Amino acid sequence: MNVIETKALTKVYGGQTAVSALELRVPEGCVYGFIGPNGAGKTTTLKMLLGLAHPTRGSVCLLGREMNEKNRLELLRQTGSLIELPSCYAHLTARENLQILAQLKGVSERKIDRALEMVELEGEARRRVGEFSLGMRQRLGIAQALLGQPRLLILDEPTNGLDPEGIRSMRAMIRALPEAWGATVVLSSHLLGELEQMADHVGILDKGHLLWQGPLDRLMAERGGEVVVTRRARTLEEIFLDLVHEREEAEKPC
Amino acid sequence: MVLRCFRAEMRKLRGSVVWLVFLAVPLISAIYGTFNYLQNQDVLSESWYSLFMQHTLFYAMFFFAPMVGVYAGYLWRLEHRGGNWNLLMTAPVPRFSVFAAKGLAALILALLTQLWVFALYVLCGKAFARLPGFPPAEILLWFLRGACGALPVIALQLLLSMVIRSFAAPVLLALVGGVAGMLLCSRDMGLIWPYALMLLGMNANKSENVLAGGLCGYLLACAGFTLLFGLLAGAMLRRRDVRA
Amino acid sequence: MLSAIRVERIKARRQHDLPLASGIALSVLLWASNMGMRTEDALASGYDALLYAIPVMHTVVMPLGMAALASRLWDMETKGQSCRLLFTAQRRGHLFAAKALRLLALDAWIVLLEGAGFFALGTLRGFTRLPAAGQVAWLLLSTFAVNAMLLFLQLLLAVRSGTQLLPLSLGMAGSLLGVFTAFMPPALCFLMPWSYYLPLSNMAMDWDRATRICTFVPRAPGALPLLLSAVLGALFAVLACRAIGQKEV
Repeated sequence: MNVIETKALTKVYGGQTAVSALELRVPEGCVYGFIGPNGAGKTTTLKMLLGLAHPTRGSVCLLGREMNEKNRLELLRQTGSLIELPSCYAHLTARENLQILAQLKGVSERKIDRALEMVELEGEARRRVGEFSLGMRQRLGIAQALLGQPRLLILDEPTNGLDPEGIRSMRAMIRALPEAWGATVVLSSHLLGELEQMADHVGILDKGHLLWQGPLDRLMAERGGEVVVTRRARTLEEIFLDLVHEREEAEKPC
Repeated sequence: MVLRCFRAEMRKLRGSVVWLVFLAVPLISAIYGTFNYLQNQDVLSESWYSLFMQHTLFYAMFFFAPMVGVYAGYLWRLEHRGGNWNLLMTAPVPRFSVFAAKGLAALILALLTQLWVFALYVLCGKAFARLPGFPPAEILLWFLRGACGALPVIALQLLLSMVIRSFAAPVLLALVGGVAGMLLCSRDMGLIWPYALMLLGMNANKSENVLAGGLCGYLLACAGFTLLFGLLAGAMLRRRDVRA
Repeated sequence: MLSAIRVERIKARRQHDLPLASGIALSVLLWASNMGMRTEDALASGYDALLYAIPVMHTVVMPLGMAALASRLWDMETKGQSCRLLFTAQRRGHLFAAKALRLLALDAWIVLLEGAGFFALGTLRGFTRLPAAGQVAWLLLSTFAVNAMLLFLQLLLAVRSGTQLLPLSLGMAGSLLGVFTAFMPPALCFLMPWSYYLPLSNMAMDWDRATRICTFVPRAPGALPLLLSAVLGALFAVLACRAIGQKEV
């Protein structure tokens, strides 16, 4: 089953098309890497998936059901998300911030400790978020997404502000989620090297258009060149830039 | 240093809604005061003095301190958002210069407000109340004195807005402070309360000079409170860790 | 819905809403305590004087006070950029309803505090003639209604503008306009929501210019101003709810 399916998903702001006729297919149990340059429409797409932005045209299917105003919250109860910056109240402690979400999602407060442990914030549970560093707030944002072990996780730039060690442990955690509780993870990132190590499926977006999507292995096999001793001739980053360049060339007038 | 910071502060004020408060509140006060004067000329018979009392009654008692609260809150709010504290405190200027520059910017706004109130007073006196001549020099002195009384309010509100990272709470405190100031003035204890000093200086709601013979004490109180709050702010900026 | 209410209580920790609301009520009582009543006649009509003066004090204090309370309650969501998360976990209507209930609770607290303070002040000052219970009840009810209307208006402004500056500025201007319209024909009062405390007052003052004696005369304010407050309050509430519903994050 595809956990996320979009049909001709389009978003137009004023006269500007941010996302154009997107046909996303995110298979269940995968880690789906959503790649694109600044302004490609990644965050806009993720917002539409969560119902935070209304599509101009098209539809979104989450967890096998077409999302509408009536079933939106029911579907989102099985979803965890971190979009742009982490959302938190600086005057509350980390635990209190998670208590708010636990109450709203109907998740037992016992799961708060588990979520904080997964992001290595268990020692800071009773500290006010106003005193947190950027990386700690980011971890808290991820903890909010993980709370209650949702079936679908949508993470926008999850490793923002994390140190290399933090990035490594976050990478390992994200990779393990499908196996841990059958979660499907959609993550967007500029760090293509990181994404290459976490994702098993990718979708490449540029100027609102989906250039390519599918298993990462297939992309590398098709465009990665020969296997050269320890690594392929071309990295994911190089392939991505190629695809974008090819599109730009295709758009140039004859 | 302070001048450099001050120029930066004035630039931040450009195009802000704060100017709406600056324009609207004294204007409404002037319209209300003039209307009240025209309706009660049989009781309010002291010409320019009566009109002055009507114009400045509510402005000085209740609304000047919250207006300064809004100015101070706005000047600090820009820093409380978006991690600007880090940028500000790592700029190559002494920390207190930042506070002093904001104080100067708030003072300019307060002085312009006083000027605007005075201009409206004279305009309404001539155009609507058709009062003879021009306001007595004494009234101009009261406006200037009121400007002195604004200094401790500015220093205190800036300190409050620096420490309390809420926009509304210091403005509310200013309102409560103003009410308390009015009470203390009625008991001749205005000199011990910073919010009462502006009221005393403006001679609000009185036609005789309430500070006759007491100007030195008044100016000392203004300077003393301003210095106290300035020193407190300086100490906090020096000793406390910067929290973005 | 219950979880939304519980969540608002968690968010209110360390926000000091109650002390701020208490400060608003206390500033009115502090002002009222300054009324000079020393003679026997003055003490006999002390409560009547309070019933007359308090609505005027409300016109000055409450618009800014309500602006501060309402804008603070929404500002925590703006500061925390929390709508993005909240809108994935709760109905927007529930968020509005929980905020509305919190604001009404603060309004009720202010009114209760003022009610208690009203009698405490009278006892301390030695007022001799108790007012009719109905008159005090009307003062408290009308204050609650007008406060609620202003709270929803300010919440609407806070949601639409995303800043506290506009609601606070309008609160200040509203206070002045409210006082201004006290001297206007009653019909004009109804055009200014901030001045509704005055037409709802159930005590009038009769000032004799010749003898310079003022007496207080009960008056029936009529249901129309109260009804208007309720209708406008409901309208602002609906608009605020819609504003939250339509908010793009």
